[in-house]
Amino acid sequence: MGVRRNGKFIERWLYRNYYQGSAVSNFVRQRVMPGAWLLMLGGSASVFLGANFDESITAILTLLMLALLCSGFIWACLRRSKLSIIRDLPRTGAVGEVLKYGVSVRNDGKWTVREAYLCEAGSDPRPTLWEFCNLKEPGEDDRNFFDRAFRFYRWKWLVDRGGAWIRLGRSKPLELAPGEEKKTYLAVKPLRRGMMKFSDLRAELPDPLGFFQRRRPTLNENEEVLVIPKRYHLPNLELGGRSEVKSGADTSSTVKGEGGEFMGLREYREGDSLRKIHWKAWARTGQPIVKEFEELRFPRYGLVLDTSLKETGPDMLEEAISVAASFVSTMEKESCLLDLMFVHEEPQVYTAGRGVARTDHLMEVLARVEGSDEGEYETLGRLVSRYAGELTACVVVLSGWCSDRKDLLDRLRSSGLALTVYAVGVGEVPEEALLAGVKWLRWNLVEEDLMTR
Amino acid sequence: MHGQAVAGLIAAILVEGRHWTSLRWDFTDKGFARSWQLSVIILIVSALVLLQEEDLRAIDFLDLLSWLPFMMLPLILAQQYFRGAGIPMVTFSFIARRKAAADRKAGRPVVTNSIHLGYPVFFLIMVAAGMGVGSLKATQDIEPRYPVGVMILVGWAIYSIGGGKVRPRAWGTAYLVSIAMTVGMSWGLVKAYDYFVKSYAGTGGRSSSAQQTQTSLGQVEELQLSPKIQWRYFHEKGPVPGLLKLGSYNEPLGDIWQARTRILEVKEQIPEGRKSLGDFETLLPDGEEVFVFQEGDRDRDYEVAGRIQGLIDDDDLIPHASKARRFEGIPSLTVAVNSMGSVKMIGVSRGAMDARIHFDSEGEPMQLDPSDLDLTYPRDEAKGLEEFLAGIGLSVPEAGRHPTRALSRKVGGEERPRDVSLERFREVEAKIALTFSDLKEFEYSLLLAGTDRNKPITEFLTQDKRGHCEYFAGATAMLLRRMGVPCRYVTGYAVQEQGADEGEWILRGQHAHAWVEAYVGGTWVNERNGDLDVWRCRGGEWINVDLTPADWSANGVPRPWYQGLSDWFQGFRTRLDLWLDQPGVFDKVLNVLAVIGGLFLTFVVYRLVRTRRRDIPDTWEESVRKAGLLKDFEKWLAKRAGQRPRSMPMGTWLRRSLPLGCDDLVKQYESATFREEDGSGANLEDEIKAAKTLWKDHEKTPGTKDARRVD
Repeated sequence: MGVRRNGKFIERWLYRNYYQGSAVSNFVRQRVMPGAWLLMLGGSASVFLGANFDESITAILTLLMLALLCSGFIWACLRRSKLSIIRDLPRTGAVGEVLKYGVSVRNDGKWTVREAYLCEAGSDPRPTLWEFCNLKEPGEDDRNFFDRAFRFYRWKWLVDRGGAWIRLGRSKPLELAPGEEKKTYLAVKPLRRGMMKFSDLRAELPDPLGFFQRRRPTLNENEEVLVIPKRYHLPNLELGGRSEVKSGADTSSTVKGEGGEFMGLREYREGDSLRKIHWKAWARTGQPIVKEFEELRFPRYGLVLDTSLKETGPDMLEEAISVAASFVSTMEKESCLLDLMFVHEEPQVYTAGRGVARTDHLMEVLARVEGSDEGEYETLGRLVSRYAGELTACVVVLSGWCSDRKDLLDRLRSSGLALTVYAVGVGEVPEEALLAGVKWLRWNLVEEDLMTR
Repeated sequence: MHGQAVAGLIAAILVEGRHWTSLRWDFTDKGFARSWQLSVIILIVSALVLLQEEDLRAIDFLDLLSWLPFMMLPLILAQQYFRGAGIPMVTFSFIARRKAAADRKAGRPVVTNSIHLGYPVFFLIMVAAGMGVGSLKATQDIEPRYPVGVMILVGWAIYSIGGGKVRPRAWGTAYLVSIAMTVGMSWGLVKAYDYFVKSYAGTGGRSSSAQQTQTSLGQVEELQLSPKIQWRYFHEKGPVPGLLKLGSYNEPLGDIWQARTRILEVKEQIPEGRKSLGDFETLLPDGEEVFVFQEGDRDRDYEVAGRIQGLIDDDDLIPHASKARRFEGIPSLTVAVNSMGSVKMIGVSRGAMDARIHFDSEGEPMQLDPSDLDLTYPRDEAKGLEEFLAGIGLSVPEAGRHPTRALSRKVGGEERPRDVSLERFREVEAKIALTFSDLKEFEYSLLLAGTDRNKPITEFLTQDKRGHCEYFAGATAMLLRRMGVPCRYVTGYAVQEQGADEGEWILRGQHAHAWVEAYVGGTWVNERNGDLDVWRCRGGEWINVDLTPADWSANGVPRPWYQGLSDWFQGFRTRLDLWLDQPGVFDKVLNVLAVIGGLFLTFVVYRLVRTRRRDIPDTWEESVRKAGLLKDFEKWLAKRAGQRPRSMPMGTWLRRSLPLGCDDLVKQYESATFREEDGSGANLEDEIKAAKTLWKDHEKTPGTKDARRVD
């Protein structure tokens, strides 16, 4: 996908208009309730329908609607509150899963606050100029000229997929006497992995008729929750690989000593650990005898993540990270070691399993992974090759398909690694990828393709 | 729907019947669009019919508006008997429907918002109800039930929108404040209306009454002339008449001219064979739809003839030249003429007319000779008239006791009006005409500044000196009367605009005109009429006196861009009416329409019967039975496709295991499990049977046992 960094004048103009228009729309929508819109519409229609004072008195209806709107607006403007908030947030959340948390709220004002609702301000879903200029809505080319030129549907699509999280409703209505403290609950739904920041919690104060509401800021701390990537169900994994073993007391384990069952004694061989020497037997036989234990053997897998945005897009990368997170999540149940390898400025390797580290750690790493514009496949290739000798098999998750990625796979295969390769892309699998044995995952049907391919 | 209780009750039963029956339909976007289109067609046809009414006023829209809930019935019924909730918003926009269809085709997600028509219909009913119960200009006459009802119903609606979850005390306070604001704003609005908008009137319509005509003297700020075609005149022979008269009036009453009825005032003998209908006498029939003024008019040639064509209504006045004698093709029971020469149709049987009228250029007109009533003028105007006449160099005769209306009934036998010779009349006419046509003095204008309703003519002659034909004609009539010339105020049309066809002249609202008929060269004689002595002027001649500056026709009304279309439609409608009025045609058209309507209705009923469903939620037993069916089917399928892996959802397993073509079963499963509507209307048992059959067929095909697995 060709990437243009700077939009044309018309693109920038459209973006500015949509951006500002969206801000105004959002501001109004948050303060004007549906009942007020209904009343405004009805009032306008009644002005038109009953304009003839000689013959009708529908002006009374119009004026009543106007009066209701005015009194609601003035009432809402006059509402006050001074609330302080403490959130009780969990440590992590997951993309697409509802995150519920408690909120302690105290009325620091001098007056009782009635019918107040707490609500997170939410994250800004508006795309950046770069996204607006370079990301195409799926199927955009099939739209008519007007839609393609004005890009409203692209903007709408970007807004729909934008934002790190969305709020799910608001709290129950609160009534707080001065100095009173209560606990209530809020819920949000993370849409993006990474750090979810909470900085703006508002108190919504509607007028009694329910037409307008004032949104007063509250006193609250800036807080964060780590959001781990979305994960998919995976089919039973058969990654294959060579004799699939690693000694339990070998280099990978931080657990010292022998972990398996005692099997018997044998003669000392050069290189045996002094810890294994059976001193009593040595004394009895006169030659060094060592204890032999059942070896604990478990596989060690590599998980190679392609973080490059080259000839792909952020959506593909997100899906690739989700696929990688699915493997991490699944392998947590297996008795194995897992090395997560990727390149971010420099080669990165994180190992988990078998007591080295919990896979939660890998999830946190994946939550923070960022894409890079340049494809550093050479570095990634060298990194994996360095660990090739220790790996049972390797799962490679590509965020797209191109010749550089193909070269990477060729290089990894030449090092004798058993590879299982997944690539996220748009549309049907390219022939080259098919020949290279890549399991092709359509970016919008990843879960289905994971189960069937 | 005012006064149509039965219709309202039927509609209410149909709409609310959803609560008493389980019949429901799965209307698609297309179905809703159809019902919307039907409602719009009914609305447009009703509006078109209404727009053909003359002198359309807001009150006329009441009928249309009050039937709006009925017109929207197809849409409301579709909403009420729909299995889902609300009407998709795309129903109301063809473009939105096209876009949604294109999006679906391209695989893009389509978000469909719905709307419930309950509140809009409720609102329309309230608006309609407010259009017949009074006027804000006369607050004392307002029917109090309307504002009280509005306050209660709007309050209930707002309360229900909020779901009843409100703070009662605060809500009540806010609502009372709103009501107080409404009362205050209503008062302010009425005051502002009185202050800023004095009035705004339109004219250019037909004079529909022979008894009186309303003028705009001293009342309006801007006169609105209509470019709408009222009549078409097809001239056939003789000189083209410059003016076609609708009605004559002889008594000024403020801003009204009225025709004083002859029966009460100057009773004359009704000729044999003609009937009296109030001030009117019927014309003599001369064959089917043919009427003549006198016996001698039956079989003779006329110098002038022309056809008048247009849409008509009962009691409409017929445009004609003052010396018309024979009317052919008038679709009414009878035609009558009053003492002023106004001709009207009584008992009109059709919607359009194409009548031939025969005129004489010489001879006796249809109206009677003037009486002393044709010399009266308002007492308040006397001084202004005299000052004006003196100002243009005319010696004003003594007023005597007769000229004012208050004395008119007593003048008979007491004082003889002075005869005015033809030469004297010409002199007076010339001097007035010269003054009126002097652009430095008087100006023809549709923008008026008149404010004095008691002395509008004096104000016009001495201060404003600008106005339209009603001012000039009114002033001419009173000035001539002050000079002793009996005359009448006439309304009608100026024949100015030639049509596309040969001899065709277009008479639009903007061609509506007012002028004066003066009786010249006569002598006043005293005639006994019952107990009264009446002065009549005999032996003279009626002539048209039009002293409105000649440039009045140049004050053209800007015609909208669609005027050509409107003209065509008017002509089309007239011709259509004339065609339908031909014997037997209307019955045939009615029969064809009835057959088409019947077929359409049958089709709709057939479709509704075919697609109906019972909306009965599953009982507990039914749910268990369905679950049992699925359990059995799972066992059956597990034997063939392998056990369902633990933790794999049933839906996913079915999708993966079953051959292609069994998607409906999965939908049925989800519907049975999660109570979601799959919209297919299919049955779970049938779907399971179909899936089993498909599986068996699939097994028979070598190598395709599990087409869905592409490992």
